[in-house]
Amino acid sequence: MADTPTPHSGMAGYKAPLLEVEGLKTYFRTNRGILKAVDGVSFTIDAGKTLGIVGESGSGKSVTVRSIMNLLPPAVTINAGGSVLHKGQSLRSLGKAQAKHFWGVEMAMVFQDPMTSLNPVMRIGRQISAGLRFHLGLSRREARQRSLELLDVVGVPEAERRLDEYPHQLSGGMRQRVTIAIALACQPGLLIADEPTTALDVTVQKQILDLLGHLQEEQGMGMILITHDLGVVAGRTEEVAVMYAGRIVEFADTQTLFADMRHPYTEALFESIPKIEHPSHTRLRAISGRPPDLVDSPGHCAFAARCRYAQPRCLEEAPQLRHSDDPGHSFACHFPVGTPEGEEALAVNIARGATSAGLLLGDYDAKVMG
Amino acid sequence: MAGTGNAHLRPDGQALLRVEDLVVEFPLGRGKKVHAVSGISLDVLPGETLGLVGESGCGKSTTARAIMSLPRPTSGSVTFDGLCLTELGGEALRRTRTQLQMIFQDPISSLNPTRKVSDIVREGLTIWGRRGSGDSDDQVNSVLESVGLDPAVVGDRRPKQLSGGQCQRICIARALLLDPKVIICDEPVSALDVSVQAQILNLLQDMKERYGLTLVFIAHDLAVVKNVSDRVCVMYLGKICEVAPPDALYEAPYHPYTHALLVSIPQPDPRIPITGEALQGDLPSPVDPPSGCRFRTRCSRAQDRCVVEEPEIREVDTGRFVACHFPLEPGEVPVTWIPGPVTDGTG
Repeated sequence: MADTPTPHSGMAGYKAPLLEVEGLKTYFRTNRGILKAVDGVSFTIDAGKTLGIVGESGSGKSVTVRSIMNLLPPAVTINAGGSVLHKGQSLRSLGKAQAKHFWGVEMAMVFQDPMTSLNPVMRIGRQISAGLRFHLGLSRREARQRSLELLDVVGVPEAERRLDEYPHQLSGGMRQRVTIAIALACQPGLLIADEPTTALDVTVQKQILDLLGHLQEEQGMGMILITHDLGVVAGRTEEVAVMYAGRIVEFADTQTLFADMRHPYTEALFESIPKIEHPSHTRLRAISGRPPDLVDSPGHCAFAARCRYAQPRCLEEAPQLRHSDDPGHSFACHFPVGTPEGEEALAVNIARGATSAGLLLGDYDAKVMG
Repeated sequence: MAGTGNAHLRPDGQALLRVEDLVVEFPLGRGKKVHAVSGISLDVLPGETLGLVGESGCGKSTTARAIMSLPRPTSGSVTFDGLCLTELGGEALRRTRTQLQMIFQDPISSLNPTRKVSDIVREGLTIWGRRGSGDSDDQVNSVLESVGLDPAVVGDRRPKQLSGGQCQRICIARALLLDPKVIICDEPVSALDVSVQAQILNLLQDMKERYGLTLVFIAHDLAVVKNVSDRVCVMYLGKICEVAPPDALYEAPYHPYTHALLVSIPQPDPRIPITGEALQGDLPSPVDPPSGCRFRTRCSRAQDRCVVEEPEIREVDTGRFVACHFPLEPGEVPVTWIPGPVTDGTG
């Protein structure tokens, strides 16, 4: 990558993917031992495409992208392995001089809570133009002009007046637009959005997601969209990675994932959400229990304890991510949903009323014991 | 939407909880005030679950708190079981209020971090002097068990040692212990993961059946509200827009705002195309709300009449109440969501 920002249109004919993450492992040192927050995550993103990452809290979604962005506290973080390549070049070997004009220029990030990601004592205008002046070397006046345009692009009304306001004077949706304007200031090739709409109302969420989709189309930007909302993933992404306990358990293009989900966790996640088309008072199928402790993670399948399909094999051997007949669809499960093995496993469990891990079936509200 | 009027209230005497013309205003100084809730009427029949939905800032939580007299509403009346809570004071209010309990959004911060779980749950009994010797232990243990927690395991723990879902179970246990008739749930699942959310929603449903509870359920997630409610009330900027049974409401909304909310929900099915323009603009300031219908500044159907005249709630179909001069026909989709040529009234 060059020191100066390269407009993304120059990607035509370029072979290496925009971002290639291979076997990423990020561990944390804690008082109790090593916490394996991300344990071997691989994916690629091409320009103009959106990858969705879904999972419960603690599944390693945010740590994955923060690890890519080098945003984790170095004192407790262990980069236990893996590579992150941006257009074929490793980000880990980025020199200081290169790194200075890489983050924010080639790759930018939007965070969940717009109030805490903006500086409360700095005017909006200065926060947007800071990056423009530092990375692009614009003059004060040029940067202000460009900030004004950016606020227009992200749909902030009365942009001129807003430039001189502070974050607390804006509503939540407007603040998130400002953080998006900051992220887009240098026209990054890749935007990472970490739960960008979780703190917002549905109507504002729609505005923001429409905006991101529109800007992405216009600028040919790649995007990683992290969310816990399967609804958001369904409509806004081309590919989805489902994460559980620090690993990707299922990866597919979005259409395939929803039409043909293979991993019991994906299925369970999908079934646990109330759906608008279901009649009122439809009983929800909750996922019992909690995600495993990542300090002392089980050697076997991490989802086995909560899985309706669990068999003795699931408690002995951790399944590896493997491809199905469809080369773009992979999952890590011994007894995938919708396959003969999976159906047999479920039938066996239903017949005996419990899984091999001891989860009682027919009682999806199984008690969450301390 | 301004939505005044009481057409949607059921005959007097049927409802367990009845709120009439509730107004809550917060003074800002210099004669200005925040119009948080402006004349809302609600009623809840015994055993019913009333869902309140709307964007943040629409007054859902303020309504809930005003029902509990936390703080007392500026005007209007709250009648519970024949007693007027807004007229009661001091000891009488405190006694009556034990029959109404609340569950809050953030389960961890609504529990005292320094106290043991069993003490937190027992507190209500202690305050009311109902802790007869070993009897209170039994009560605490049985209520913890009924919310799916093992008293032997969690009883001596502190809230921070437990997960969000477990803390929300403790909040539910604490609310249940005084044997309330009504539980007001203020966004009880918004801070939880989807998997845990389903557990808590199912638990609330079970508790409702087991203890014969009446619920007021507040949430911004429309799918969640549809799942739990028997009657849904859509709010906007301190007013009621639409009241209807959930299935009918979601099938064919009458109010343009309800429609806007519904099309904004992301559907977990990639085959459903993303349609409909998002609602334009922001919620107007509740300090200076628009004149006439409060939704008119963002409504594509707004006419001059909406500026000057506040719509009254009326019944448009059996059990379907809407406060709009120009409600949607069943199945009709508003043409465009760009605000019409309505003058920006003084408000």
